[in-house]
Amino acid sequence: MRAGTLIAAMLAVTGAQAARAACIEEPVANAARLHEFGTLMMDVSLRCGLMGVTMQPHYEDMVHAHQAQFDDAVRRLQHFFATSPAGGAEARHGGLYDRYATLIANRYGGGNTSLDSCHLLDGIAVELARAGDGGRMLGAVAQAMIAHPVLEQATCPKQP
Amino acid sequence: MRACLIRTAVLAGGVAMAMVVPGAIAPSRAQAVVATGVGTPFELAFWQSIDSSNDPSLYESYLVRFPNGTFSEIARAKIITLRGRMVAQPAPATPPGTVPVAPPPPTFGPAPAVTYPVAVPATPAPPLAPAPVPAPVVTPAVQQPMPAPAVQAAPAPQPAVMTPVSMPVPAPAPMQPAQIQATPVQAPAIQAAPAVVTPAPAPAVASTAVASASTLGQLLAALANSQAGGAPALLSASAPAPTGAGHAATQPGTANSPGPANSSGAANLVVAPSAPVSGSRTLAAGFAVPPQPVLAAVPSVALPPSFCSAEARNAFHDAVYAPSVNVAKQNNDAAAAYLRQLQAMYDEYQLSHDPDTMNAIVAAARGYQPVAQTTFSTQAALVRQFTALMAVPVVPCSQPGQPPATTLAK
Repeated sequence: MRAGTLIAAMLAVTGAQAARAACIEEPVANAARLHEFGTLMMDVSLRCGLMGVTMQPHYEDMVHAHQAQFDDAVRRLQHFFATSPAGGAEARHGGLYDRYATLIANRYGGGNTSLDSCHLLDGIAVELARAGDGGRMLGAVAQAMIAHPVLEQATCPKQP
Repeated sequence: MRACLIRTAVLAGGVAMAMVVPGAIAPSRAQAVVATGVGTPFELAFWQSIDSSNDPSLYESYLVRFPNGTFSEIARAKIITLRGRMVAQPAPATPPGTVPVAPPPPTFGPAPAVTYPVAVPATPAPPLAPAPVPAPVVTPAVQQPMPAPAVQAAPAPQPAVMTPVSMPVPAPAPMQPAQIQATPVQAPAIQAAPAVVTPAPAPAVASTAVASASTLGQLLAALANSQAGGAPALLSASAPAPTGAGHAATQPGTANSPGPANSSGAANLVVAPSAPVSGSRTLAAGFAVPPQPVLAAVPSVALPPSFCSAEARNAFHDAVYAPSVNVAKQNNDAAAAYLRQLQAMYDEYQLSHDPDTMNAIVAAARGYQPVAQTTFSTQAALVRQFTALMAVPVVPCSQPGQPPATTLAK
């Protein structure tokens, strides 16, 4: 499918950017990116629903279409926090992951959502729900939208 | 299950207000059609990312995804045109069968300077009339930093107390469309397809493809950034940092919008300069709470009983009122920046399992909130005073008992 040309180019660009985040493993960074993107879309779908844009079914279709990818991302993150040396007992019981998930939900809980952005994000959800490319498009969109996930900012040392 | 858990966490806070009301009228799919008549916003974004390209494969990609799309006819015409020209003038170095691909990453090197397609508020034209520019309405519910005000405009105060450090409480979603600001991401206008397309060499085509992808990526990044406005709300006095498991969901707070300040009274307009913290309080963990910003005293604005002329009123505005507003705005901005700094530190330590540091940040923010509320109230009161300034009558100085204009602008 030639649509891959554009997405491949996007991946080339965003991949070069992501390569700088070497303090956490790339699979973990990608998982954080995907999880953050999913949370963003969930929060936006709730806000857009209130504004009259029925985005929630499309969001759920997107999650359903990529359930494996989203679940894998959660498992990676839970494992990441469970093995975190700073977590201790809280990490072993999932407290750190829960705190992280809440932090992400809060981050996107009060965004500046308008009808235009609702339609744009709704369109993205629709396209991602249709994409049957094994998550390639989902990864590209998540990479473009969440260039630097919160987990990277929280765990990587700040650049001078 | 995961989504349900997170959704529960979100809905426990302010986002719960964003739940779809059962029985609400479900908008039709027609609402998904943007005002431009394009089928979907994604289609529009897709098309805008390729419409200036000379790579026919991009238009083929568009047709694959949108075979009956709004721009399908244009895309087919462009493919025919571009293919015809490529046959007439074949690219010299492109091996047969190769697909234009992105250049190697070193070509792009560091991330390009991202210029988000953010709607920039147009700077208002200078007023034709000699009257001062009216002060904007104070909107405590504003969640985004205000744009730079016009030169003569009294800046609307940005409520510093809207972004203090707190436990991670879900920020309320914007409830009223009237409060929602203009969308920060504006899709650029559709450009007509050029009638004559000049073919570019193959490397340029690849670069164009990447550039288009970069544009789309920037659009998506800006879109994501526009949704990342969820700042935790105010501190709750009984919300210490979690010290054990099970404290992920924190105590819901209320995003206190700053209460209406005293609308008048020169004494209330003066902000006592906050004594800067000498040195930083160092915690056991080596963390230091940043020192508080130094605030300047805001000159009071005492309105005269009348002005000799409209020019005298303008002079008073420029010499007395505007400087006072500027000082108040600087104070409020500094206070808001300080609370944002504490908020960022708190977020940074969210995952550190260091409750002492988190509690120290919370205490610092809590202690500074009265100062931040004062700076906001001061600026808000000054902005409101603009109406009173414009209501001061203009009485010619020739009449007895009127003070000269020079004494008004003290």
